[in-house]
Amino acid sequence: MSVSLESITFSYTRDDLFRDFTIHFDEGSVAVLLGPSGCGKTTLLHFLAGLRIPMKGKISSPVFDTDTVENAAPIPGDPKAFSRRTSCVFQEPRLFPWRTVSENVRIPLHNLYSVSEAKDRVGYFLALVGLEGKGHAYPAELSGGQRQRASLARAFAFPSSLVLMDEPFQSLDLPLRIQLMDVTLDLLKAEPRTVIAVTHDPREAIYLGDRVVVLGGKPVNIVLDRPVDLSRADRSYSSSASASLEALLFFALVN
Amino acid sequence: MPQIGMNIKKNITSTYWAIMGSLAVLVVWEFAARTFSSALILPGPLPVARELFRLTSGPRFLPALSGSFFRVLFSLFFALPLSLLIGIPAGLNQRFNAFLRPVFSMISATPVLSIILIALLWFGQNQVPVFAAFLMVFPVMTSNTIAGVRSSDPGLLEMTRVYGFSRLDTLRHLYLPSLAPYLLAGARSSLALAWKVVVAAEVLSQPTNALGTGMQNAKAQLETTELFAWTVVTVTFAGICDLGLALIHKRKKNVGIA
Repeated sequence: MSVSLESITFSYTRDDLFRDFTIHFDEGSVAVLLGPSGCGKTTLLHFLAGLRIPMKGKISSPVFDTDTVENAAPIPGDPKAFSRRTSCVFQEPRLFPWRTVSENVRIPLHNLYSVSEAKDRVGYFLALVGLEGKGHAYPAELSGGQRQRASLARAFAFPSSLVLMDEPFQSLDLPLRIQLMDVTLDLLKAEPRTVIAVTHDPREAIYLGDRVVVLGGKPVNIVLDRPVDLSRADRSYSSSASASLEALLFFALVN
Repeated sequence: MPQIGMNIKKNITSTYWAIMGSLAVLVVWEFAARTFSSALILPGPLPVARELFRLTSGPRFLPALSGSFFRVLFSLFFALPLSLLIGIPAGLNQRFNAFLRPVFSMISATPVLSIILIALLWFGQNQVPVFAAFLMVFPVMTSNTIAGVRSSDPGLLEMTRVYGFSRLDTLRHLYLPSLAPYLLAGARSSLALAWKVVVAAEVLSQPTNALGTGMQNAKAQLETTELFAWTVVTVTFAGICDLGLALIHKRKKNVGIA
């Protein structure tokens, strides 16, 4: 489904964080949001996940469809319907420490699939993220990169129409970060989803995104909104083909 | 590997010092007994050990021990589910917590003996120790449950909400595992408390088979040595129970659950 926020107003304090803010995301594409800390990127993801409700405006997302804020309530109907679900990759892995990796991926599926289907699905996605053979390990026995792979497997094994990513590779070093972005691209090839990702890093945005959006200001507005029409090779960290877009993003971020 | 070796060495050293500490207690006890030289005031360790042997091979011992042990267990079995039932909502809801706080402050401020004496008016001989121990243990278990619920990771909670966990699933996968180590710690302190309260209540309520009854009878007949022997039995079994729970605790930790 396509996802949109229309004329959103929201504030934590007396100053509005969002005022009459509108943005639209296309179905099946990867949009990357860039912006300084505290500009409202994470709050925007919270709106889409249904964790926070704006004071005014209309949201169309898997969990919410509101005409006005007064009747901002989860969409009635079958809560198991595919279009109702959102998955999320957080900055930290957020795995149950008392459960094995495969249990962590399987637990959100237990109402949605039969036991054997869920097992197959978990195995398939653990293999896609390169964690085959690690299913029986506890999160504490994995490296930071492996834990985040498990978190990616959970997000894609969960049959959602929208995947939110909140700076998921922030705490990893560069080689690991590239590895995990490649894993994400592989997952998207296997299971196309609408992805909305938040990052601080313009290179990451270019590597991963079909579209980059720079947010800034208070109340927040869209500073720059560009499609990324570069080939995979041109996006790689060693290529200079993306330099002009990168420069543009840096300029938009700093000013 | 050197880490594990160090730990074993550390364990051996602390076991050594624990044994030395126990011996020191015995030496001081023997010395004090010789100074008083009266079996009525303070019998020495050897007469008490002899009396202990006579007591444990007698017919009253096993029924008394199992009677007290089951009273301790019963009080915990009532307290555990009830403290989960009250503690989990109280941990999640600030208002409910505030509503309960005066009740718990009142219970924990009431002297144990008042509770026992009041219980004597309400219940039969066998139930008084169970009720008194339950009332002392329940606030401890509940406050541990509340602390356990509060300790659960807000990041994981947010995750369960995004992935559409039902309340029951959240309870099962997030809250219960988060509070398990708190509950185990609470059970340990409750067990020690329950032994003390049960035996104290037995002294006053005099059920037929009870360690406390044995103590009271010994005291009434001025059998100080026997009184000491009953006390040693109580301390020993409370210690064994604590050791059992400590082992469970340790094993859970090793598996990485707690």
